[in-house]
Amino acid sequence: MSGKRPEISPYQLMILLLTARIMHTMIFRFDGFSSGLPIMLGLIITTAVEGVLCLPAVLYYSRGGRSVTDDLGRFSKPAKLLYSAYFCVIAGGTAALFAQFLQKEFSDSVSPEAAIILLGLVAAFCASHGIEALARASSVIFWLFAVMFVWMAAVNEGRFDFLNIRPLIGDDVKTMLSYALESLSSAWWIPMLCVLGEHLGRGAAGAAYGFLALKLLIIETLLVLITLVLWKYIGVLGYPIYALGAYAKSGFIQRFDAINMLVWAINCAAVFGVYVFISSKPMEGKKSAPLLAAAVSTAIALYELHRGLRYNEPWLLWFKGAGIAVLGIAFPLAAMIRKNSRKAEEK
Amino acid sequence: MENQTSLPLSLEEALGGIKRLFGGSSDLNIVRAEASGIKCALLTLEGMVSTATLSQALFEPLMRFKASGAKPNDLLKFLSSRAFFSTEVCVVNLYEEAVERLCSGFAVVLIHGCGRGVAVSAQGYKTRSVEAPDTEPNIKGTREALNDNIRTSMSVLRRRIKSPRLRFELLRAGRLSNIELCLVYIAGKTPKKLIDETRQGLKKIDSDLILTSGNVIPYMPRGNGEFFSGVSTTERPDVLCAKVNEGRIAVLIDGVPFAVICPSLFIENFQAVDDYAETPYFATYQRLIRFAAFFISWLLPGLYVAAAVFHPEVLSRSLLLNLIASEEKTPYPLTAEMLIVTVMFEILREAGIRLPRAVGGAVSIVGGLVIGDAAVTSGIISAPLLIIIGMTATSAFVIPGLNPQLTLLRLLNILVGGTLGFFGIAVLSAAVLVSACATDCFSVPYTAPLTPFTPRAMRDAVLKNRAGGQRFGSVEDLAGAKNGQGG
Repeated sequence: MSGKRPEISPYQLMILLLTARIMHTMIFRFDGFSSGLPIMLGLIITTAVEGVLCLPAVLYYSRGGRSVTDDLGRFSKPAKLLYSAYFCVIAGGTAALFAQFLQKEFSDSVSPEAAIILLGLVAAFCASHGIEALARASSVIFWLFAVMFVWMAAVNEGRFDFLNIRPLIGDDVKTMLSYALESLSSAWWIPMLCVLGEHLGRGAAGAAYGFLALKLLIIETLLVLITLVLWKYIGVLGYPIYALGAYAKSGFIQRFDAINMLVWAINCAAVFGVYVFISSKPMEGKKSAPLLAAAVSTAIALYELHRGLRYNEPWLLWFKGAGIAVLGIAFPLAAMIRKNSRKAEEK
Repeated sequence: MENQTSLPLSLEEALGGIKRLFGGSSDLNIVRAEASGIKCALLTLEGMVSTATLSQALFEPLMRFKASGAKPNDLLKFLSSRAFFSTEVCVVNLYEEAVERLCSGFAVVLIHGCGRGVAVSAQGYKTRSVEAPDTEPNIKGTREALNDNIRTSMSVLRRRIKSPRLRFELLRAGRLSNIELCLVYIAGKTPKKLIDETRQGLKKIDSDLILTSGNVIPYMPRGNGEFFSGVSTTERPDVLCAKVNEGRIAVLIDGVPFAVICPSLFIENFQAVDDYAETPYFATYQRLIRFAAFFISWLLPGLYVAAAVFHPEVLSRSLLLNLIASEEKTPYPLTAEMLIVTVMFEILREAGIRLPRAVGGAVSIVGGLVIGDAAVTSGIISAPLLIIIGMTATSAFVIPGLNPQLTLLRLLNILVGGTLGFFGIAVLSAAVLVSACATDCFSVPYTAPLTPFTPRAMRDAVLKNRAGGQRFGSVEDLAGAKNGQGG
């Protein structure tokens, strides 16, 4: 972004990545939850690996890179299209899984198809206001989530039971590795960093590693709560954060289910908006770009909903993993090499 | 064109030209006189000049002018340079100048054989005296408000900032009204670019008349904002002084007792002058109350409808049982009931504003007793719903600056809450949040210092610091503003 003032700060980029990750955790469904410890360890391994995988993107922006796609020369346009397509699928999947959640838990209030279409429209509206507005809004949403999370944890009806922790056994290593791999395939924050880094001035490293630290803290806290408090409930409800709310009770609010959904839906609309913003970048400058990107993502979401998309589908894990490898690692690496060689030539 | 031409040498011809320009308007007064044998005429517009000022500043010196063999130019020179004890005296050469001065409350003296005239400032039209602010009342702040008369407003401000750095810059706008506008800023604090942009914008005004601040706001420095606005108005001189001291610019409009200020922030709707007269703890508490009122006014009716219709599990059992019992008696669905009462309340509020004060009280009686009580007694509306509307309406009055937005949002929330439950309210809230975050003026984010977060300015955002007074050096220091750190 030469000559342009940075549109977002490292803190805001970190929050954008974090809200996207929280959305991902919200719609994550534990099928056959066995033990918390292997998953907690798996998450630590994943976070460490992610810290290494994001290095090309972090180094690219820390060393004065302006835009990964622009520095790819003649591959710039295809790269932009690839990013766009990837995030259309991610947005579609996120909306479809959220609609499934609504279908399961709140079937009375809104049909999943209507929810997806409405989310698509709001996402287009949000994306049309640009990344600055989305980043500012996400900061508010993050703190809203944090307050809700702490409140729900504080008034939860569940009781700590250390008997829920059992020593690791041989099979747990397999569970740990499988969870680590699964979690790794959800690291599309690295391609997000590659795209959104161009709106940032300095501080890509701070944003990336700050995100990793906070993500680890939030999810590990959730896992501690799941393991020690919500052990029995997770099997019934599936969604971990939802389970945290379902068994919370205050004098003022009888049950937090719907409050949970309210915050999730706000976050989903904002995160969907960020994905649509990224997807509309190849058509940057055109007024209809966010609407087109949102339409494509909505269509994908509706298709996935009717196909019965599952969170852990193998093709999806491969797709997400391949995206991370190509868009999150290979492209920034190539951009960095190309930029360095051009600099050397100039010298 | 006649009004672009020079004044003729002949007095009669000049008077004829002026009369033609005014089309025989009845308020044009012409008094013919003779000083040392030189014919002249005094022109004024009815009610625009002060007779006392005229006699002191014009007639007395005119009578003292005694020079044998004096020429018309000598009289002109005497009148324009030595004779008047007036605040402003100038020579007019063109019809256009003479007419403009007349319309501004000057007395114009035309002299035979000179081809020029002298305009003397002698304004004496009746204006409202400086009164207490009607729309922004307070307990411990000033009881003076800005005035319809731009000069009076300028003096009210000058009395509060006795520094040459406070600058007033007069401009004229409006094709027909030719109204005076005044830029107010503090040199060295308000960014030069903001002053230039505002000046340029106001020069582009192409309306015939400027009757309200709404005619000026579209020409203020460019910004984004569909639903919220980065430009605000105030009638309080103390608020205006505090804001220009933070590097903002204000525009006074002659004939309008409100000043337009830009850039403005969302958080300022929750701040009041009285906060600075209280202890920090109490002021902070008051601000938190205003925030609570904002959320109640915005969300409560919608959440109530959504919770009762789609998410009853949220409500406590006893409240839910009460609700069911009272709703069973009413004939309409809850959403329709809430919409009817909300619209009814808006009608009553509008009637309360528009009706003469003498009958304004009748509206409260009709609204509160007749409609409210009778509707509940007859079972058309449930009592809990009226309580919700009462709380909402009272809360809405706490933040008058956001009333237009809150009114619309409240209605929309009831609609989406009643049809889609909490999900509807959530997506609408996300859209509103992003819209507010996208609003800015002169690149200063409307939502600063909350988001983007500016810790220094937060000392006087939600919490009030002990020192009080100035929140930050300049709006330009806020994160996300043009010269600040990105975002």
